[in-house]
Amino acid sequence: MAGIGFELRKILSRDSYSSTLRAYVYAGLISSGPWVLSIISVMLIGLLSIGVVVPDKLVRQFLVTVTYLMAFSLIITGGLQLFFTRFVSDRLFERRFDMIMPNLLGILLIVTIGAGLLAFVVLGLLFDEPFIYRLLVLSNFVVLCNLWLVIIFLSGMKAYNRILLVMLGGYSLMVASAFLLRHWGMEGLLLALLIGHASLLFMFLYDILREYGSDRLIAFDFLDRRKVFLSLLATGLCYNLGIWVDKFIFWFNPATSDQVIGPLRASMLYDLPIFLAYLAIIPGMAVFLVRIETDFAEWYERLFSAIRDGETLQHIGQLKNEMTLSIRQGLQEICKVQGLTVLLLFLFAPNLLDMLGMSHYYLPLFYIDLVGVSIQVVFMALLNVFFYLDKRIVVLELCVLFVVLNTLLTLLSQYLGPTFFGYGFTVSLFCCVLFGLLRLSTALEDLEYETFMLDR
Amino acid sequence: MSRRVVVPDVPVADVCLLLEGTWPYVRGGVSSWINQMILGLPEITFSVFFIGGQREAYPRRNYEIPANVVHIEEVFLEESWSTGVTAKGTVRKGPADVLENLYRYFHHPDQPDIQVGEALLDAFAEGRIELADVLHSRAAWEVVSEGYRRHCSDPSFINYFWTLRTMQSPLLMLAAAARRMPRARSLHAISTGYAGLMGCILKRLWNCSFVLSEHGIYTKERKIDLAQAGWIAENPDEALSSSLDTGTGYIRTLWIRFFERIGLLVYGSADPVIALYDGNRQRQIKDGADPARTRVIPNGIDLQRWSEVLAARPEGIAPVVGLIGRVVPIKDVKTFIRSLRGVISAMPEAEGWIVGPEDEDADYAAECHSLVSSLGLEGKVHFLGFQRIQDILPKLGLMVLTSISEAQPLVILEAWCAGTPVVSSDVGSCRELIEGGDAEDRALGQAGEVVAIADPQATARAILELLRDPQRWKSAQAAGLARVHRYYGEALMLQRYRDLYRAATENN
Amino acid sequence: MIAKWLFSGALAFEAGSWASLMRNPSMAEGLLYCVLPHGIACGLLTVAVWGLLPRRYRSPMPWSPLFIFSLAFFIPLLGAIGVLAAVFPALYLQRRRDEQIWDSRGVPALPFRPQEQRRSPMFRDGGLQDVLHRASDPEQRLAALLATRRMPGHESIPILKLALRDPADDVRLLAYSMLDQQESRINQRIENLLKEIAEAPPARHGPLHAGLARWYWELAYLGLAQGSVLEHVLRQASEHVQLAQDSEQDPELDLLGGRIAMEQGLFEEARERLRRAERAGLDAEKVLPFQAEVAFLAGDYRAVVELLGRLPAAVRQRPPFVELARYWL
Repeated sequence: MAGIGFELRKILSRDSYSSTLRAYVYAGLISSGPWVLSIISVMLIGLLSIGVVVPDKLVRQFLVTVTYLMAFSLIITGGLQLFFTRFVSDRLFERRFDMIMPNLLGILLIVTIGAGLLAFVVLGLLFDEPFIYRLLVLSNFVVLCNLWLVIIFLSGMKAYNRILLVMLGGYSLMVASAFLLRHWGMEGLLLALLIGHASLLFMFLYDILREYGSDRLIAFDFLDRRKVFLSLLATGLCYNLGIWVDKFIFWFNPATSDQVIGPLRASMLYDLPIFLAYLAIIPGMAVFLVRIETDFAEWYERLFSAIRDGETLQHIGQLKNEMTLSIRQGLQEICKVQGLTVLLLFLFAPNLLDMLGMSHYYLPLFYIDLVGVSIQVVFMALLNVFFYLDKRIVVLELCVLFVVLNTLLTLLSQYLGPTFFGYGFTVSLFCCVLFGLLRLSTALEDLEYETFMLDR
Repeated sequence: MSRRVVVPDVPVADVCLLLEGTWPYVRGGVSSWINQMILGLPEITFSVFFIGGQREAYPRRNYEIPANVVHIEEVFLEESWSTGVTAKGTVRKGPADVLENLYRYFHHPDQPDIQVGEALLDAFAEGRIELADVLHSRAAWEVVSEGYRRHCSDPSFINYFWTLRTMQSPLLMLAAAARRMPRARSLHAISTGYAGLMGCILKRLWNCSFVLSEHGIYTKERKIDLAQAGWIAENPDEALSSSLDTGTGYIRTLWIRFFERIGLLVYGSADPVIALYDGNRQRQIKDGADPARTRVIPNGIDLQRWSEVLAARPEGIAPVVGLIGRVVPIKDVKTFIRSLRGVISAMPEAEGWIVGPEDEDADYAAECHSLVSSLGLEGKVHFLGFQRIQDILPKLGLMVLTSISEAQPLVILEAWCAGTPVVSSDVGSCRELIEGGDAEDRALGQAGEVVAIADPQATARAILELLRDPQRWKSAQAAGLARVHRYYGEALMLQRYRDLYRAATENN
Repeated sequence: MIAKWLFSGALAFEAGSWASLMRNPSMAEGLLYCVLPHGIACGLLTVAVWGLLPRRYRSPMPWSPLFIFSLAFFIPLLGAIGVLAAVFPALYLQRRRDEQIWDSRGVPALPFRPQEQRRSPMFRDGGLQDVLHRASDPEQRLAALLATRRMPGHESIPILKLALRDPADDVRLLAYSMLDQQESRINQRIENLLKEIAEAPPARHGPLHAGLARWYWELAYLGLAQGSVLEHVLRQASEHVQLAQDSEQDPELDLLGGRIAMEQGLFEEARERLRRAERAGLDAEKVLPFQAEVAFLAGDYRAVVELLGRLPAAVRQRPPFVELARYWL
């Protein structure tokens, strides 16, 4: 998400109230757009199907299938996403534009075949559902895995408007086809999902292939160990795993879940609040994007230009202080905005749940989930700062800590009883953020020492 | 890491030679002298420590290794800071006191105390500081940034930082190499600089004698290189300013100071400190050597080999004037050619010979050729290229040296051995050679004439006087022969060094 | 032709596969009756599409066709449609990467750079030459030489030449290396230009000759060439001026040619060239001083008065003309 800073700075440079507002709205759209769109379209499909698709439990099966598809595709490709974006940005820096398309198609090839075979084995062995169902789930899985890589690639290429517009189109197509195909039951819905995601994938591919030419179709340069960072694979995996592991624990604990379709289980009491809560991070994400990608990024660039261009040590120290200040301000602002959002939602939660037809038993879990996802925004901001400072090992440590803590604390919360549900997720994030802040302050203190003395 | 220094107790050689950029890789005066020494002292065993810059600059050895060289160790300084060696470092604390001493001795503007230098040498010898300490430790960072804040007048921190690193890394590399070097009974460095510093460290380690011989003064040569060096990062404002500025920039100053301090350290450790002629000796004293330790041992020439050449000399004064040397600007061949114009106008039967390879500076050689033709000297001035000097010298009536800079040109001694008087420009030890050094030497008479630099008329006059006056010419020839036989014989030089080595090895 | 057969074959197999799918098969049946025909269909499609790809995208084997196959295979029907409608056309319709000539940037902040603290310059009566003549300390003489680094060539070179005869070794060597550096720089440029002329088409020769003329003149003007070398250099410069003017007339070149001729002592030629320069429209104040100089050297003093009189008044009041004007007019 690097080049977005430049766009935002352009908007902010006009320095008026409306332009600042515009910047935040734009940032919110960019940061949250894709997954908000996907959540909303899936929910819309669900809504459209109620009444048409009988029996009702099929709708639930559809939603749970979609959830599992998202979860597994994100976890499996998470590491590859980070790994590959770094590879691409390094090649861009070297101006090796001819390497971009072949390696993208190479990694898509590996993902397609790998995901396809994995899904084939899993669906063949663990499921007993109709063939068409299994076929559609496999195709959706493959498409989703490819889609995440393509989307992350495009954000690395700063094509945000394109992403947003195409996604709008693709998801509209998905909802429309769902409307038309819902008479075919769950298979129809899955087919609609496939149509939507596949059209997104191929529309993006069309654009990418037109933009980046080369002299060959496929290349596997990213398998060259010297050109890549293996720690990023582990980091991506752990980060995504950390986000989903508490949900898995709840899904596979017989006390808190029930079987929905095949081996797929879901937890009525746990899922709904947290997915609703995720919609509340839009303001925090907007602020995160604006502050970290503009202010912090700007001071960061100035600091490192100063170091390279031969400024005095005192000036370098001053710039570092400004950069530290910008990080602090950014984190504070995220906390403020997100805090305000959480407060508002606290107040309006009962009415919100009533509107959605959910019982008030969900309220406590909803509250704690709200706090948890807000802390997650701060966590993401911290990780982003560490990525800028190229502290890949620290990020890996934090993500591993996140997975481990989330697992342990969620298990503990299950053992302690329903009042503690949701605390596993929240408390683990809280600890990770504290630890991250500690590491950040030592990293910033030693920044000159490490830059000059250790980086060669 | 074991701090205990393990050096084999049995010395593998008598003398350890410390050489920088010379034998056995680079052809030149100093290398030939070293070769002469090793071959002339076959009863003494030598080990050699060679210090070079880049490995690729020394592809081939130009001298055969004689049997009495029992060990050769090579170190290339550029490898100490090339990125292959220093991978991403890890945090370490580092020996703060040693690093502070390092800065205090080599980079602090004030002249350091002797104790600081000695403490530093001890630290190097004992291995209390490693290359990784200098490159990656916190203590090093503290010292460098403090030094920047206090003393640096060049605003660019990164230039300063990399300059210090480039200076300090080779020192640590040398210290590590010193600990690996097999022991010898004594040490002999042929220059100050890195070779001399190596000698200081080894002396500490082996507790033996350390002799220093200097041909050219290392510090002076580096100063001149650095004054013109283009690779020193300059403050862009300075580069663009148009006001007169006598300063040389802080980075240059740092480099000059570094070499000066090394020189100081070496002069403090070495005993004796040998120069080729008294002028250089005075320069060494000025640079910090203890006068009591300094000595003059001039170069020597193999007198036996030249006696036949002298016998082959025909009677009379051949009206041939020759310049023997490479055709390069520092030999100032153009002044010689211009002076020949004056000589040939007054003495039409005279001839000029230029004997030396022309491939080192083709442009200059071409200019000399065109000068000859434009002065109308074609047919009178001949370029003979590289020739055997024993064949040429007997045929010359006079040998002329018009160089802009020399130390102690061997070619003058060779000319005298062949019975040729010499007209030379007043550079280096030439005046001492031709007119004599001390009173006893001067009593032998003038073996030619000394003229000012870049003065074709004076040169022409001196040449004509000698060629036209047989009396003067004969006495110059006699003086030359007497002088070279008494003071500049190879046997004398080798004996002096033999005595020196004996005293050094016994002094253990 | 073949492509059509392949496409039809693929379509047939795919249709068969879908037909089997509709009958709700079991796992084993599904594999045999759906997946296998589907695979064959994808295979045929791959061969067809791969054959029609642009040449460079047909390699590397076997990954290139495998990519198409995998997309079509694991995403039934939609994958094939996607490959045909998106991937295939995109590979043909690739945009050329244009050089980005314009780049938008923000307004940078005012630069502030701390200055290096410099030592105060040597204040002496009389200039650097005096220092070289009289200062007893070699360090001072060295400092005087280093100060000439910032001076323009024609002022610094006489000082450096003076220093070549200095009694101190250091001073001589520094002066020698500084002179050598200056001369080598110019000689290097001359050599580069000569090489360029050898390789360049005749149309480009004009400016190259002009450049050579200027650099040869620089050697003479700075005093880096002496005696016969000077003659040689002047001759070269004159030749190159002539060659340059053969391709294009340039009054500046005429002026240069005139100055060269004047140095060579060829006053008639100098006068002719300067007159040509004047006629071609060069500024009077550029040409007149040289014309006056030629006249003076040739001994035609009346012409000197006349030429100096023609200088515009503003110029006549400026040095160095003000003394000349006072004497002659």
